[in-house]
Formats: sequence, C-alpha cells, structure tokens
Amino acid sequence: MTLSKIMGHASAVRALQHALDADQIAGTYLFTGPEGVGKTTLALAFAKAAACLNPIRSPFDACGVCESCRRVASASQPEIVLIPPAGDQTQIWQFWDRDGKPGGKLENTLIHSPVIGRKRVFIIEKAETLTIPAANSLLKVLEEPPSYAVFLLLATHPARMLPTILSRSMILRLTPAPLRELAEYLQRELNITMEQARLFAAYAEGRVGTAFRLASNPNAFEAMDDLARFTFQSAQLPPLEAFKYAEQIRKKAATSKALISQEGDGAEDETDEPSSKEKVGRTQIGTLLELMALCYRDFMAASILGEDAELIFINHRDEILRLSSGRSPEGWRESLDFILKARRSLDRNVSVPLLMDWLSVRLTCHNS
Amino acid sequence: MDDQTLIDSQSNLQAICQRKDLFEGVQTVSHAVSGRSTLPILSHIHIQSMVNSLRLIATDMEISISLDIPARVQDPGAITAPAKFLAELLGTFPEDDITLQMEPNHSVSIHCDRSDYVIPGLPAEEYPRLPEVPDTVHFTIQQKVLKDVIRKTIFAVSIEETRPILKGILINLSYDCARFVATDTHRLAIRKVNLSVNEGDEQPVTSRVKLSETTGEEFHNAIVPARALNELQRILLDEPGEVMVCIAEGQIQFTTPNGIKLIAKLIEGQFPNYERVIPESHTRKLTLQTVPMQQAVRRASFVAREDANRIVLQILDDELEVSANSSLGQALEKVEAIREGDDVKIAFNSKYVMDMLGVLDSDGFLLEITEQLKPAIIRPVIKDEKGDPNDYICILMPMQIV
Repeated sequence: MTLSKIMGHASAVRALQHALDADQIAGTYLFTGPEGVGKTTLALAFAKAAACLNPIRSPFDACGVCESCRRVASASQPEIVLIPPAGDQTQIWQFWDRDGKPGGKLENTLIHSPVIGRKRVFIIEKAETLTIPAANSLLKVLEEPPSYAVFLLLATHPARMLPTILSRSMILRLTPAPLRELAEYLQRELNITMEQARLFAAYAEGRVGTAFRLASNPNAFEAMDDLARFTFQSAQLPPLEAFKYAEQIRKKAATSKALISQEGDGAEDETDEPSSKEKVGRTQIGTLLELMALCYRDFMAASILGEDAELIFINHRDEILRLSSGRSPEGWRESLDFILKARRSLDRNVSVPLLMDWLSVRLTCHNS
Repeated sequence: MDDQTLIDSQSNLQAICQRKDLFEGVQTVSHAVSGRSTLPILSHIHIQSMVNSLRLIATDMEISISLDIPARVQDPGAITAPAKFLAELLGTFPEDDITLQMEPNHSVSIHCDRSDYVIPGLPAEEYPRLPEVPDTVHFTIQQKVLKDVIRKTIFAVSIEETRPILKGILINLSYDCARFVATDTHRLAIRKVNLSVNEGDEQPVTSRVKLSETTGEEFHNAIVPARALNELQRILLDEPGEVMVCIAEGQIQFTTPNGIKLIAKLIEGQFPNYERVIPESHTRKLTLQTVPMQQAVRRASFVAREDANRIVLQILDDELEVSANSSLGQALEKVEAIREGDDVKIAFNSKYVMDMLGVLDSDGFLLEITEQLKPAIIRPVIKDEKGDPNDYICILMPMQIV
C-alpha cells in the first residue's frame, strides 16, 4: 500500500505528504479513529514513504523499487517496526531489554541512524494499552526522538492514554469514509457487485479496513445474507414463538464466525486467554445484533419512503417492502432501539440467554 | 517485485579452503550475529568469493565484522548459512580441506574428508550490509594500546536506557592525541592517547591523523557504542601492530593488523561536556598502594552491600580508614597512605571504586579530594616521570555520609 492509494483519509494523507515533502515530519504522530478504520494501513504506507530512498515528489510517495521499498514488500525491512500489544497490554519490555524477556524493540536500535532506509519508523499499535511504566519510559524519546526516527502511535481510545503522551504527539483523526465512496472503492478494487459492496460498507459503518477485510472474504456475503434472512423471521413470528427464536439466535450466532475471524480485530485474536471462549461467543452475538440493526433500519426506511427507500439489503428488496408494511415507522424505530440497546448491554456483560429472551419478546410482541 | 531480483543470484559459489581458517573466521565474525533479531537472515553469515579468498561477513545492523580467509575459488558467487549451526559443524570436522558449494534453493553443501552436509541458506543478495566507511577522518593506534584503552574506560559506560548517548565511549580526536571518555554521570573515565609517539616503545612516529578538510575543525568527536568496543576488545590481540580507525558520517570502522574489519554505527547526539566536571584543583592528596586498597575495599563492600554500597573513607594521621556500616555488621579497614592536606571524611560507592582499581596497572595511585561532596579524582602513579599524569584519570562522585 502506498500513500496515494490510501482510500478515505484524503486530508490526513495530504497533511502527511506535505510534511514529508517539506522534510518537516513531527517526531511523534498519533492516529486515532475507530477499530478497522485503516490506522495501521495508513501507518505502514507512511512508514514506507518515509523510509524510501528515492521518493516520488508531488505528491510525495514511496518509489517501490529502492532497497527499502523492496524489503517492505518482502516483509524484511528491519527499520520499520510494528509493536502490537503483548496480550492485553503493551509492556515495557517490548521497548527496552528486561531480564527474562525477549529483546526490546527500541533497545540498541533507536540510538543508531538507519542503514537501509532514510528513517526508522516505530509503529505502536493500540497505544491505549500501554502500561503506565511503558508509557512513561517513552516520554523522553517521544519528546525528542533522534532526527532519523519517527514514532506512530495508533489508538482507538485516546482518552485512555496519558496526557503526557498526548501532548507530545501530533494528532491525526481518521474518520469513517462516506458509504457511497467506500462501496465504489470496494467494487473497483475487489471486483464485487455493487449490492455486495454497499452491504459491506454499511455493515462496516464506513470503516475502510473492516469493510475491505469483509469484502475480501468470499464467504462473508453468503453468511451475512443468511443472517439477514434469519432476521426477517423476527419481523413476522407470532409472539408465542419468541423464546424458541431466542434459542435460535444463539445457535445462529455461531455461523457468524466466518465474518469475525476475517475481521482480525485484536480482541478476537487473543485465543490464549481464559475468557476467550465466552468472549468470542459475545462477539458473534454482537455481530449478529449489528446485522439485525441494519435489517431493521431497512424496514424503517421502507415503511417511511416505500418504493423510494434506499436499502442496504437491496437483494431482498421485495421481502423488505412486504414486511415493512406490517408496522408503523414508529414501531420499527422502537424495535431498532431494542436491538441497539441489546448490543450495548452485551458489552456490559449482561447474561446472554436472558438478553436474547428479552430481545425476542420485544421484537415479536407487535406481530400478530 | 519479482523483477527486482538481482542478477548475481544466478552465480554459483564453489571454493576450497582450510577447515581451521574457515572455523576461526566463522567464530570471529559470529560476534556480530545477534541472538535475537527480527530479520531471520541476520542470524546467518554471508560468504562471498573474492580473488583467491573468501570474505565472511556478519552483521546485526548495528555492528558488522568481516574478514578474508585464503581459499581456492573455482566458481565465484555468494551464499549465506546459519552462523551458529555452521560454527558447531565446523568445530567437529577433522583438519582437512573443506569444499563449499552452492546448491539449488540457496542451500550450501559442505564437504570435508569423508563428511558431506547440505544445510539450507537464504538468498545471499538479500543480506543487508553496513556500507564501507570512507577514510575522511582517520587515525592509527597500536593494537595493544587500543585494547588497554577500551579496558580502562568501558566499565564507566552507562547501562540506563534513558540517556542513550552515555551508552557509548566518546572518541575525541585532535591532531596529536585521542581522548577516550566514558561516563554514567556517577563516574567518568578519561584515557588520553598520544598519537604522535608510539606508547611503550621507542619506535619512530608512525601514527597518522587525518581530520576532515571540509569542516576545518581542530577536533572530531564520535560516540562508539560500548557493545561494538566489547566485541572489538575480543578481536584485538596483545601483539604489536596498528589498528586503522576511520570515522565517517554515522559510522566507524576498525581494521586490525590481521585484516579483520569491524564497522559500527555511531551513537548520534551531543556527548555531555565532560571537561566541566574535572576538578581543576584539589586540597587533599593521598598516595595509596593499589593492591592493599583493592583488598580492603572488597572486604568492606560485603558489609556495604546492605547500605547502598556505601563505604566511608577517613584520613587519620598516616592511615586511611575504610569503613562500612549496615545491618550486616560493621567493617573497619586501615590502609597505609601518604597524605598531603587536612583530615577529611568522604563516602563512595564501593562498586565504583573497585571497578576503577580493577583496571589500574600501576602499583600505586593517587586519590585527590577537595571536599566531602565534591568529585574526587583517581589517577595512577607515574613512574620515572614518563608519560603525562593526565593520561588516565577517573572521576568519582562521592555519596552522602549518613
């Protein structure tokens, strides 16, 4: 990935290219934005351009042929260092040598100017997971990195970081891309149909990284389509079947695995954790609830605008239009609220069976 | 990126050399192989054919060691092989000719006497190198002297990560001398080497210093990481011969008399102004014998261990009392001393005192003190008026007496 090919973060890319061109890059950048918005992708593209030996000018970008770029392409550029958290936290030994731990990534490298590329770039992923000692150990280097070093901190929740780190960083906010733009990009890059692209863009809420990962997964569309059809049932089931449906939700959620494993978001990767089984279960139900919310959004839109409604699940247009007449827009909104409330409760560790029972009762109570 | 593959990957290496040469060469360059690297190829050594020799190179991107061994090259080329494995293997082969040959998939076959081994390597053209250092600034120094200089300064190098600049030894080079300085802010060691005469023998002047013509500076500074000098110290021999030292932008290169090249990345930044902390005068001077003092401090340090290594030195008449006091007990040692000046009581970290006494070669040394909380100087006693008393000095910050 090169800077010019980055999608959806035009202003951030322009600012970075400008700084690179004028040779005035800050010592420390902080990229913030929701999970999967494309922070790591942007950071790697920036690193490649900053380390490139013969960069292209105006707009500034990596050449792709020098030794540094070649090594980036074969993942053997030792001067661009990615530091993800070790488990739940980013520990001090990941930066500096500590007894009984693997070698620190900054120890003995930061003091030397780069050999292969023009800059040394250190990318610290999920910077909000830095422990306090680890964060404090970085203060000095972030304040005044050597002229050849750049630090890129990536964070979803900058509010959880030390103010002393924030004040040392140049902050770039990455925002989700407009859905239409993102869908067109996905369609162009991955050769998928527009209706699929729109579904992925909408599900990812404009987060480029998440949408791209989903769209690259051949099974994702089918899995989502299946879950959507499952959701449609909830709009027509008699109230008496509510508890049976709640049971089915939990079983069905397991099939959303195909969507999750492809997302690669850190939280799901930590399989060695004791609570991971339970956590994954919750993540899957969360994915399902997010999809349900999209379906109900379509119902609501269809019940207000009828034939003119712009739908996300466009391939189920007739079914959505038919079902949407069953309730008033007000009724659909109420149901949507219940789904979103359930999604939030899930993150607050509410008991899953109880929550699903509650939700399906609420969703079906208006059905006759 | 496939079309970027270099052309010389087509070449095949085939060469014959002596087992002993290759084994020793591999062992020497292996000093530069780091045990834990992000890049797998850095655990390998690079072997390249030259005219009638093989060049072995190893690097961890901070230091690089290379040397040539005599060989009969039948087919020019380059290979890489895992350093540790290669050294283990070569160490057990019988003394005979070794044939190295490149096999498909970057493998290397090694033939010796009746043994045949094939070990997997990596593409040689991907091996990263530190560039050769041009001799814009250079000087030569006796091998023995350089080894001694490193020994006498390296103990004072800081091990803290907060000030990377102190993790190296400063070489301050001017036209007639080179100063080697190391400090961790609690102590400072300075060794000055006169480059216009050869130390230790009456040979005519052979040292040459060249400073950069472009900058026109009267001196040149370079901070060499302690790790590089540690490895250099192991390579240097106690034999006569000159080491050529070249310094260029960000790098330094040492070439030993037997042709081993060590290139190291320099630490960038400004070394603290060490000259400011050297006391200009002193009010009390003690002349002490090295060995008895060393023994006294070592014994007292066992007690001092529980009190932040604090030992108290007190001058009384013609004796120096070394005492320590902690939950482990009380220590009192008396050492003969010749003194000039008033009585004084001063405390030091016993570890730092021992480090300094450990590298002194002279029978006696001077301890120059101003006041209880001002830095003190330790310097060897110079015999026969030969040499400058400022050739080697150590400065020690005192501790509070409680």
